[in-house]
Amino acid sequence: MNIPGNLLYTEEHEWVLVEDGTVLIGITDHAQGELGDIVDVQLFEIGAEFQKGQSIGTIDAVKATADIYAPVSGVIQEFNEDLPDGPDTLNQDPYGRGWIYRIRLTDVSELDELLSPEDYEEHIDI
Amino acid sequence: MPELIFEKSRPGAGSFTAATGGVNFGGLEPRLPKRGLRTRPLGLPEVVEGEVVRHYLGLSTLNHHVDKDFYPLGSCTMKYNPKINDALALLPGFTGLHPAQPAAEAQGALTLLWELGEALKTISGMDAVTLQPVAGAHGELTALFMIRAYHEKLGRPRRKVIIPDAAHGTNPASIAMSGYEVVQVKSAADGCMDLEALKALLDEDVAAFMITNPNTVGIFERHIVEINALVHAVGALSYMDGANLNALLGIVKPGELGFDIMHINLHKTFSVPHGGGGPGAGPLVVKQRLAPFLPGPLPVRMGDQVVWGERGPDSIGPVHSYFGNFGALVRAYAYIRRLGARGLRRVSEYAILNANYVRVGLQDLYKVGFAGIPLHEVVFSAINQRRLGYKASHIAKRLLDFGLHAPTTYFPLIVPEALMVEPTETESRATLDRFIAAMRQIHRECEEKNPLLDSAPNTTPVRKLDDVRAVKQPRLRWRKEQD
Amino acid sequence: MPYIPHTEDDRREMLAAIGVARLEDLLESVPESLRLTHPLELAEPLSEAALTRHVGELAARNQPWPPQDCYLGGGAYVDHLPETVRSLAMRSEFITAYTPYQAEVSQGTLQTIFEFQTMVSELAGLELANASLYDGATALVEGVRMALAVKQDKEPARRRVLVAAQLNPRWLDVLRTYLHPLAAEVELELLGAGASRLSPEILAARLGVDVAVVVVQSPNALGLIEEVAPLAAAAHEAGALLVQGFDPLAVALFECPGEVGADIAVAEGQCLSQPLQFGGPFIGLFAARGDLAKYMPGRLIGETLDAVGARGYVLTFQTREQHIRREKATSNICTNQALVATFATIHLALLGPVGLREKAQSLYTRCAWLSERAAALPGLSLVGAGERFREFALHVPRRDAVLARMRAAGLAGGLPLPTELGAELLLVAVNELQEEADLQRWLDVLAAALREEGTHA
Repeated sequence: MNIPGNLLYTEEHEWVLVEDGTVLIGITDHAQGELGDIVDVQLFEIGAEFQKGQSIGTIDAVKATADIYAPVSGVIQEFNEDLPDGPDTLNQDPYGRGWIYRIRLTDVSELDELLSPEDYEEHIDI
Repeated sequence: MPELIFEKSRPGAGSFTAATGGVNFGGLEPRLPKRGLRTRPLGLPEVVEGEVVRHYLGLSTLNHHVDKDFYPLGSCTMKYNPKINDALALLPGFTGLHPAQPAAEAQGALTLLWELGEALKTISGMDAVTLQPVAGAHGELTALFMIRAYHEKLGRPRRKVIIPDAAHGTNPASIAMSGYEVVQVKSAADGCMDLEALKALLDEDVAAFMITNPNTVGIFERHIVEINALVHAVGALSYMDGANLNALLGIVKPGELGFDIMHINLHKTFSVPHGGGGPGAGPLVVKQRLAPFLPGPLPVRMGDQVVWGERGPDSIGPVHSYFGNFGALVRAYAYIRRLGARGLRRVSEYAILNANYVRVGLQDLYKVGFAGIPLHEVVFSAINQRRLGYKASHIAKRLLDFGLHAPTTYFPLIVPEALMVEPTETESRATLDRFIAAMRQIHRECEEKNPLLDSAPNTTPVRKLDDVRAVKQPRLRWRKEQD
Repeated sequence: MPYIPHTEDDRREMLAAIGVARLEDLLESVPESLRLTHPLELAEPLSEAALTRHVGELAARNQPWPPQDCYLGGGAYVDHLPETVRSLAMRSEFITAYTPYQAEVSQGTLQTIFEFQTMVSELAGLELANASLYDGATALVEGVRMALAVKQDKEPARRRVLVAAQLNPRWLDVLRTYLHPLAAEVELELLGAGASRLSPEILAARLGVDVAVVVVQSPNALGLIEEVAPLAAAAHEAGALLVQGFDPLAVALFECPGEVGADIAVAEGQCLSQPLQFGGPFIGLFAARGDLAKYMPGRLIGETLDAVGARGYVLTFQTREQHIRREKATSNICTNQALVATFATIHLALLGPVGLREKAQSLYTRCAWLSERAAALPGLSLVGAGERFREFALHVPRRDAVLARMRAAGLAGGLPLPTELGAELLLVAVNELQEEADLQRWLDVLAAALREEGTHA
């Protein structure tokens, strides 16, 4: 299982890359594997504000659908414009070209609540 | 795969004349409308009767079906469908009856409906019934309309309906369609309702609590009486999804457990054939306080006649054009009359025996989802096989190579890699042994990394079908240009 | 015991394998205090012979009308179903199969329903059709709900549903039941009560930026063909969708929903597939514009390829459905009317385009012939003018007494319509088993009944 060491994670299988004042988020390799072939993505608009844990989009695979739960509270600064036309990028490169949102944090302390790579690995070990 | 009927079409080859021996204008001079005529071609196939017969007969042979072999589908109750029931439903006295005929001309049908309703009340321990809903989901929705009407009558409809996280998908979908908000409770570690979690969610905004019992992992909700008391304490109603009633016939009456309302899938418990996905029937049974809200009209016994009762002022109104899937109701009635009380109790006992026989036959290789003795179905989790690199879906597809249907997979959602097996009472020990042997062989194949698992199914009329292509390059109807 | 295969030995050995002594021991999870101590209070079981006799006697207590004497319609019609249809569709392979979730062993059902979708799409003249809904009334409900979802996705303020008052009254009742819980968000409004058709003027006066959907049925509850094209144009101009109820036989002759601009089309498919059988199983036909796939209710079958490149069929776009999307599903429907769809498919395959058209024409011919002569009877008048299909509405003074006299003379003379559609209206439906002499008898019996009631000098 691919769990990069430079990212933080949620129990809902999102990853978070902390950059200056903003974070990039996406779904984990485990999540894309569970979902299978992803065929559609519905995303929120730039400027949308949300609370941690809220659904900020939906990912449809062939026989499953998953909400994208906000790993932190914030505002959407940017979304990956390539996803709506190429949702399978989420399968091919979930940590790279398959990033979903760039988010401006409203509460930096929420980062402390995220899982480390080790904790996440333990979380998904069934 | 066979050609489509459209691809067999030859202009001028078939049509009505061949099918029926000449069009019948009743001796009148044929006429055509003067205006508003269709100009668009009507792309139906032109195929002669004998070829139509071969086409659909050929297609039918590509189906797995319960008359052919085992269907261990959890939560679907694929039992044997007695042939006599079909024959009785097709009696001309039933098939020729127009639904608008007055009760006096339909006494046999109304008597049958009334007696079936009485039997379902007896079996469920409830006070009133409607036979109108034509499917389980339709029954659920009708129930939620009634729940809303009940609370409206008391002043306000309330806002939320609580379901367990293991609920069938129709539950939340029906809740949303009736204007309520879905609130999910997490199941406890033993697969049952978490009482404390439920307590924390119950308040005066809760209109109802819905639960399947035995639940979707096949376990009877041990604290159900207490749960229903908690639900009633906040003025909410308690709904039982009767999808798993095949476990309880003559053993427990849901009405005596405190439930206010329940739907019954006649196409599961009462042997109505599934027909490749329907028609079914999903009657609702309710306690007296909900009776005024039932959809009308309802058959009422008046002396030796059965009449249609007037729809009361509190009725939610009809949910179907007429009285539901009458043909399915005849079949269920025949089944109940054939078995009687003792036969129905046996149905549940042997359904439970069969499920547990499968459990002990496989539990050393396939992890059982939850501890304890389940009732009519058992949920395995294919996590041992997953560690070997295979998922529940591999196992399901490989089973098809043995001439068996697959169990229900990936449901309930709370069990990882779920394989849910409901053998039903009508399967013999020999069939169960064959299923167990196949499952054990598949486990060995997982250990050996047998390539047949990756390519499965290998012996079916078509090989593994590409679901992704079906979504990405959608073709939802035939077109000539495709050739 | 019927249907249970276990011998005493089987039971004993299976219990031993499980490690319990008695069947009762398997009920461990059911608290003893809750278990029944007495058998259910049900009638004694019957042998198959006794059951056959008993249910046969019930069937014999019904009095179905011979087709030639039955002028009842209103949504359920007498139809000749070729024996070939029943003989094929009643095969175990179709009847005792489950929903085709395991596609590789369900190609019979899947390909048949794929053909069904194509046929419904052809009848309606719209790109998409689903695998069936419960009946005409619930298909209409789903059509309205889908139209609301399509519009409210982008314009939540569109909350009004305008319904032509000449909609089948049973469908209207069911629609009201379903929309009531949504009363806070959806408003249903009837248009043109008392008229015989919905006029574009009446519609135009009620259209606005808050209208999501316009509903019209053609032929309508009075048997009249509506002029849908201008209604659809007006609805579209106001930003609303048009849902049309259609008759699957009428569209073989008259313009189909796709030709007149309907966005969604729904129908009762009983007349193509099932005997009357006291109102069910029937089948809801559902078709829609090609760009609305993600809003479709119910199952959809799609074509694909298998691992070695052979063509095959699967359930597709399943993320719309309840078992995956749960409370956000487009509908709660799971079990549908697949077997009835199988009947309809085989029937349409037998009829072909020529057969269906001639069948429709034979009904049109009878309806035209009989309605003209009925209107010529003194004291009677036809409701509305223009084209009709299959049935016509007649104003009959002392209707109920007249009907009773017709019944006494051995005819089900017609269906009394509710007063919302007009006072003392009789809906008369013809069928293809009636010959000229039968129709003439209906006229004679009606004329005699009118005379006896003294409704005209």
